[in-house]
Amino acid sequence: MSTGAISTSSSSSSTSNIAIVPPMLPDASLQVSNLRISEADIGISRDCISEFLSTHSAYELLPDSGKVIALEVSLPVKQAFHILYEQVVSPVDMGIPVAPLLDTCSGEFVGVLSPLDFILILKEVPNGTLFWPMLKKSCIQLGNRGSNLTEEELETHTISAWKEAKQQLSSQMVLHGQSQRQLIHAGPYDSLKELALKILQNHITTIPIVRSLLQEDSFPHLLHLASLSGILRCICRHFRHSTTSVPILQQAIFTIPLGTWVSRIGESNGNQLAKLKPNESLSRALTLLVQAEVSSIPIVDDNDRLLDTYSRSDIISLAKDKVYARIRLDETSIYQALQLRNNASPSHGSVTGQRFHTCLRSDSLLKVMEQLATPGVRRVIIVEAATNHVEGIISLSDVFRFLFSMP
Amino acid sequence: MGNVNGRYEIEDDNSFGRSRPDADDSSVDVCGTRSVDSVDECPPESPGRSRTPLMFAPQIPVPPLQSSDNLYNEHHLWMKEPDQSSEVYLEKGIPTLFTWNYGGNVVLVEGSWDNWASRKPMQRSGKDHTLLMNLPSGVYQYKFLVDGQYKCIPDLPHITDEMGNATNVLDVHDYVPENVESISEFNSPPSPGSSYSLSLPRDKDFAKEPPVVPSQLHLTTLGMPDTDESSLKPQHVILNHLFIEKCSPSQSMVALGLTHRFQSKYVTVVLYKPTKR
Repeated sequence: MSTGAISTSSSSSSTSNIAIVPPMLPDASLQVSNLRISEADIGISRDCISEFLSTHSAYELLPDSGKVIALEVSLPVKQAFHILYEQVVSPVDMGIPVAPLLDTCSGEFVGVLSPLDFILILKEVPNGTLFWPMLKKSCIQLGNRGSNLTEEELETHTISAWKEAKQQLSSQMVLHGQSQRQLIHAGPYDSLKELALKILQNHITTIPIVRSLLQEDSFPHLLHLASLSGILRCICRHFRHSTTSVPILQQAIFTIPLGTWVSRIGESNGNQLAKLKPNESLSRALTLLVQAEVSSIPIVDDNDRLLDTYSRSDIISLAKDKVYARIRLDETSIYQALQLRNNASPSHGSVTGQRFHTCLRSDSLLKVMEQLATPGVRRVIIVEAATNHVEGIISLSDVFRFLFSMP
Repeated sequence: MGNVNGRYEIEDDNSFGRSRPDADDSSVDVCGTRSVDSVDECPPESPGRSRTPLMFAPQIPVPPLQSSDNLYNEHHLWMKEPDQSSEVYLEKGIPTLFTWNYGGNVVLVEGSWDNWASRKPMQRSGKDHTLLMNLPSGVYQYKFLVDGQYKCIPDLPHITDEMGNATNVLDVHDYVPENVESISEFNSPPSPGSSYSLSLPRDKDFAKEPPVVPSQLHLTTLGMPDTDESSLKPQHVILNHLFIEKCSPSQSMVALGLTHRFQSKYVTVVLYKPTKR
């Protein structure tokens, strides 16, 4: 049984695409090509990667010894917030603070709790009457029960209650894929291609890999939370030494129709690149994160130079010391929110102290893919070398949409 | 660690480039867990798990040699698992052994690890040529230059391009997937012959102290501070045991942890549940 995964990879390598392997090629193949890439080369590269993804299964994404967190669906949302915060702060950060939800009554996984849920709660809280009393309860001990909710109702504001409320919200707002009732999941033997397509088509970031044993257990076994980052890591590992078989890897990224770029004169750009200044309010940032359906916004100064980024997952840093209960979103600036985030997880960030990743427009696609394959990195910001101006963003889903020729 | 430490087609076929003595296999068949191999009991020929070179011959893991007596003797050694783990490879090299058994005077190896830039000569001993290299985990292509001619080993995985040039392909893993079914001791023993006539525990039984937890069960990775290295492989003894977080009775939430094995990989699931009032 355990030979399954290994023999798959060995058979795929013997039947994989034609790879032109020049015996003694000088370093020319390592150079980044700045020429416009031909359609034929794009086609070859897509086919090669597509074949690789179809022949490898999700089992390869599983780490040798992995850990996953699951939450029971009747937990209060507030506690879930704190649990995910602890996950993010720990030195072993697996990236996105997402947890699948288990319903012990039905014995099934019914959904996933992600930073977007917290953003929606915090945004809706001042407006709605649902959760503010519950959150307030943590800092106001007995105090003013100005809420018109009874104690019993407070206790029921669990994750399951939130998910139902979200259904109603999503009918008002147009949220991609948020009206799903079923858990989107995958099995350990699904091919990587199916996995990537599921993630892209449902506009989600992580997908739980669940093994359901129909005959033996009543509980499905949660194996892993897969994301595009893991799949990209597999691709990079396989192709980083055979760049000749995937010619597009050596192309500079500005020659490839990939990512969201600051629109230049003469070019029509469908997606505008959202940017914010640090003195703008946090509520504006959260609104933009939800409505523009982006997961991160670059923060620039007055000269359009990149300072930092604010991502959806940064909302978790508000759980430290229960800051979310004390602040008002429209009175907090992004700058303060970034400081809170930096205080919350001081162990993060690379050697330079940066929590975001940048690249140049002349970098090769392989280099950008390697950056995106790092756990926890979901987008790379393209900056101009000297001035640090923001030129564009390439995210994981951008890369995969390009590889699958999806719009 | 390599995935090809097993022996393939055992004694019959000698064309797979295996020229290692038998004793080297014992480093992998003793058992699947890492801790045992780093103990001194390993025979002197095998340099210990952290440096056992990979063999290319089979890419399919095969049942390692059975050495049933060793497995039980080393159970007690699991207690003193050494803290320093030399098996964190990440981007470091994994020792990989290339072997060419088809004769020739001067044999060199070149491959895609440095983009075919350099050729390395192999050490010769009689008809066999070997070379040990450190390669980071990944997929590589390689060829042999035998007396000026490019050749491949046809029995190993290879790919051929349009012009008919063939290269061998190697997938260097950084872990050894376990082939648990092959270890006979993992078969559950049959039930003992006596009858199960013990009555259900009554209240007075619950008033007594519970039996002491076996000390092996304290080896769980749950609750331990996370380190920067990838999680250590859990011991087999703690698999399929449910652990509960120690907490005060007034706490409204409790964490349950379970480690189970899925094929060759281990998954630790932590479930947070509200406690009922």
